[in-house]
Amino acid sequence: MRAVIAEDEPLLAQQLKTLLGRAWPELSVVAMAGNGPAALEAIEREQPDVAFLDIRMPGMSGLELAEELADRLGERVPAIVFVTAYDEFALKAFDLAAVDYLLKPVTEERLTRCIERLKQKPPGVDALVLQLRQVLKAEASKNPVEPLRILRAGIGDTVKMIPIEEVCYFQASDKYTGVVTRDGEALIRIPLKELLAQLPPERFAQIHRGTIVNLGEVAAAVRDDAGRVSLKLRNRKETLPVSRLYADQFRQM
Amino acid sequence: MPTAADFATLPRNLAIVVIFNTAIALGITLARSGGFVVALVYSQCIGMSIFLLIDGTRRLIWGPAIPSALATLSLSAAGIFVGFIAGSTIAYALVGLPYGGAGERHTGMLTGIAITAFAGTAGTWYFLNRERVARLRLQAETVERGAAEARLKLLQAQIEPHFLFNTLANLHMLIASDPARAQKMLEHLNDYLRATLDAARRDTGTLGEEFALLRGYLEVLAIRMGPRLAFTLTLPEELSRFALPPMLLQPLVENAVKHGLEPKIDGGRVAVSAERAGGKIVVRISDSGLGLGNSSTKGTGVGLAHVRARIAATYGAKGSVKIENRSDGVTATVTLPA
Repeated sequence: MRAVIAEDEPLLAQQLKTLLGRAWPELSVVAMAGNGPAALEAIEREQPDVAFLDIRMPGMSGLELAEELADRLGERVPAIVFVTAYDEFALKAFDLAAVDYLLKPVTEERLTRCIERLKQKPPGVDALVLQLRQVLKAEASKNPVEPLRILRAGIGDTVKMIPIEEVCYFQASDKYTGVVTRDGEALIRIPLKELLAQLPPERFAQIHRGTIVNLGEVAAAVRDDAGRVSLKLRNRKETLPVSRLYADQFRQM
Repeated sequence: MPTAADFATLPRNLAIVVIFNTAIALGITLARSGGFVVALVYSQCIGMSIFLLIDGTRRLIWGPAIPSALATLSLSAAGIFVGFIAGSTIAYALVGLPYGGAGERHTGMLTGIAITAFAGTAGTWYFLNRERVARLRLQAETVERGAAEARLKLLQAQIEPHFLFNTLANLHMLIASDPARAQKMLEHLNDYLRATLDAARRDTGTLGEEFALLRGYLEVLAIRMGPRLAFTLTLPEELSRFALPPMLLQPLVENAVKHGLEPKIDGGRVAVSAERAGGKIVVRISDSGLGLGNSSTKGTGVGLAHVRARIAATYGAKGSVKIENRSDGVTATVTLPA
């Protein structure tokens, strides 16, 4: 069995490795990464059986990393164990058979129980996706906000007023969120996560970590040989990839 | 000793008395039909004398305090009596006519005494009540401000669970592998926690204490983050005794680490420095982090809002906090009156 540890605090990464070495000698830790992108790269490269993911990491959170892994690796996704100092995502409310979590400081006793679970049949990507979906849903309902009707988006020196019905989709980039309409693009400063909570849920849906689509603008959902779903739009030429986490809503009725 | 502040409301009260006296003169003139000027002179002289006697004596003797009920009563009675005699004497000297005309000096005098007694009592009662209301309002404001400050301090003292548990997890590791370093880390954590709890109980601290607290906090983080965090603290000796609200700066340093450096892949440095500049104390917290609005750790702005509210509550417009985005990080500047 092979494992990757993703943890930004070096002492804690070392400790988890030491504890695992003691409690599970057959497991070899093949890579340790100190941030999200490095962990993604290491896990894709090593394709381990287990990945221990710190939730708070620079570059990408453990939850975002798990979502990305489910998309990129599909059935080859490793069993995920989240490691966190403080359970702000209420992970304990979820099914431990699908995704386990460890609270820091990690104790030998708790780690042993986690290992027992990991030695059984791996949960698979569908169970992981289901679990992540629940965590994200619980997150979203945490802080209700005022609904948004008109966007004030910047294009050069102008602030353009865009009614939300005119938006085809939103695309997150480094610092901004791109607002894509039929005939152009503009930028707003609201992060995608906050934006989603402010949009009417019957009209707008998240389809990827970085994309929210106007469902009325979707013409078709296409599934490729590898099972990946992408969306064709009514008024734009580009297609939008749908992450596994959100693919459910585009199944045939 | 009464101070100039005790007489601050005197001119405004005097204006009210003038209006009050004029109203009385007008009333008398209408009732008796005639002699408004004479009535006005008498009314102003008597009213003013009474007011100055009562209010002046009160301010001179009691200052900002409120005299007892018995003292108020005696003072008012004496003031009204002496004020009436003095006032009508002055008025007589001014207009050369007795109140109410030459023919009815006796009855005029009685009416005058009656009006004076009534108006004097009413006036005294009015001013006393005003003073009381103003004082109660001031008290309420003080209590309110205290409550707001207490709430802010409580919030300040809340230690972030992520900080606490990650630190404990590091200690857990070090106790087995490097006990000497574990001991150092525990000392730093201890300094920080003690200062945090102290701050919730006290109203003022010193810049020296504040920097000691920041050192504890940053030393703990430096062990945890390893090479990803470097820091410097610069406090000139002469400023270490400068007084300020406790834990005023900590949220700004916490923001620099939490939103600037922790989410940055390579980490960076934070520099805290204090100096005296242009008769003010200026503290700068500079980080080489991601910059405002570029971090996925969405700040709620609560920390900054608290700092701003505490500065406003303590220093009013004389203190300020300014946050600016540089090309390579963020600088928070706190300016306090020296």
